[in-house]
Amino acid sequence: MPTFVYMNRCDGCGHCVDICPSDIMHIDTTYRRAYNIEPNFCWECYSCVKACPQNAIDDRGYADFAPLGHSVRVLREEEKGTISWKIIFRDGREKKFVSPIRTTPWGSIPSTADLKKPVTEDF
Amino acid sequence: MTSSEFCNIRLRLAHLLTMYGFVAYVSATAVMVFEYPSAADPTPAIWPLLWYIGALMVCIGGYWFWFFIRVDVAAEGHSPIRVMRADLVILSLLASTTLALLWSWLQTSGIGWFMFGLYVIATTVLFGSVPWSKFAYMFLKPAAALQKRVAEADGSRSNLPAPADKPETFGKARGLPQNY
Repeated sequence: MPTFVYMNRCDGCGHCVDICPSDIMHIDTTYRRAYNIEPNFCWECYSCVKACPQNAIDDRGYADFAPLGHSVRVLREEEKGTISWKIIFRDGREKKFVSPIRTTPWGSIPSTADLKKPVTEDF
Repeated sequence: MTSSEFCNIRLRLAHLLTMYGFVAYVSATAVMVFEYPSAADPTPAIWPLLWYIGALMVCIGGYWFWFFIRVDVAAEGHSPIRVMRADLVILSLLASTTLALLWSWLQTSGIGWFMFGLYVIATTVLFGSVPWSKFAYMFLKPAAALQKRVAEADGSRSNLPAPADKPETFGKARGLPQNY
């Protein structure tokens, strides 16, 4: 169930390239739009889907095991601190969710770089 | 008139500089060539001024974009001097305006005609290569913009959820979230 890019909506900004933890979102050298270079390696973390400012990335199962007709789309609004989901089932049911992006202030979680380096004596 | 497609402010500024600079540069060129073709027709000072300002705007926006902003450099981390066929338009545009400025400053020197020849070649490449570069965009961009507007107008929004409207819980659009 890999991600794919609607190239007519993509403006080639590169946000998905920056955020993909697998480093599989890259820019097509001919069309200068993003695309998933290795769908097999995609673990559908939705980072690129949420990061895209144009909402040009979607995640959908392959048609041979996930029949078409469903939709899972997400809208991340950082200025409001919300992330919204809209899920459409094949039978037409819709479910909508709105959640905060986080429940702690930005910058409040200490970086692991600030942790004390373990020494052998600690063990 | 702004390029509302760009959420990246630097990309948007570079695009606006290049776009309006190009309009001023090409308009001034056309007016000076067709309205004041000879020394007998004195050219009002505004047209050469617009020509220089337009060419400079294109150079500033274009070089800024080329070396720092374009996605190959900013996101993919490629070298700024890496060139491929997709760069045909921006490189020929930069060559045209840079050579135009160089020719304008060197036209009374010994290499004036040489610079003019280079300038004409670069400008011909810029406009002549459109069928292999930006021609498809002339149809794709309006169609994509229309599709976006239709999706907004008919309420489908491409199955995206509606923008959140929970300021009392998750904060207001003009302020930091207060849900923690």
